[in-house]
Amino acid sequence: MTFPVFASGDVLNASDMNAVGLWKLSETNFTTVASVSLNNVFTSDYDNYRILIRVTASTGAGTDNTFTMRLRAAGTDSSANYVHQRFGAQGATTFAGANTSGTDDWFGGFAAVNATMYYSQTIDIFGPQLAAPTVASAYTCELDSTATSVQVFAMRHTASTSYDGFTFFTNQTNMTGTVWVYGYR
Amino acid sequence: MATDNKLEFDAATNQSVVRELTEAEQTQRAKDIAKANDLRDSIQSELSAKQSARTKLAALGLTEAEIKALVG
Repeated sequence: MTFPVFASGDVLNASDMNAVGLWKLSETNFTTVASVSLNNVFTSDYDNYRILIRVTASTGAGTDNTFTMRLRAAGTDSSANYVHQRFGAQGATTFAGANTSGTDDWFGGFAAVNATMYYSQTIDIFGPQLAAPTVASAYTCELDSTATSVQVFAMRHTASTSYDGFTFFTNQTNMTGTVWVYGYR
Repeated sequence: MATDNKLEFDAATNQSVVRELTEAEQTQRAKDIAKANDLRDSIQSELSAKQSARTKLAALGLTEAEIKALVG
């Protein structure tokens, strides 16, 4: 039997289910919060994960949200040892930068503060729960009536520490959206 | 100082809680906001400088393709 072409009455054998490559672990809606933390999503069940973040609204005094992210363990964020390389474009203009010295969070791009936002971030994160440095690749998209941008990131957390979750932050007053986490088999 | 909220989800129990930031979290948030603003300002400065360069290069007679080749 070759899944995922299912037929009525098919038996889902362990071998079939164990062949599923991407497993949804959580879907979390957040409303008017400054940050969202997910605990115990990184486990020994999976080495690698995909995280999807969509922000649909935000409020704040600033023009833009600057989004950031930290790994966490046992309910506490790690606030050191994040490095990244980034490249982006806003409209017709490109920009780039890097932090190789180790800052206290990963940069997740920026997006205009708006009651209706079209910001998304896709992150593939490799081995966060392993006692080894964590690497990740990500891209963010912003498309609204006043600004368009895309940014690509290479990221690494240099500590050989096991993490079970992460926190996603805005620097503005609050944000609303959804975060999904999937495990790669 | 107003206290901000955070949502905390535990995949082990599948439970979510919205709570106010602790004092330590609020202190860290203030630092994070300042740093995030600095980072955003530095990117905006880069974008503004490139846009200014585009305008000046166009005034010198360069085509859009030539400007793109120079400043991206």
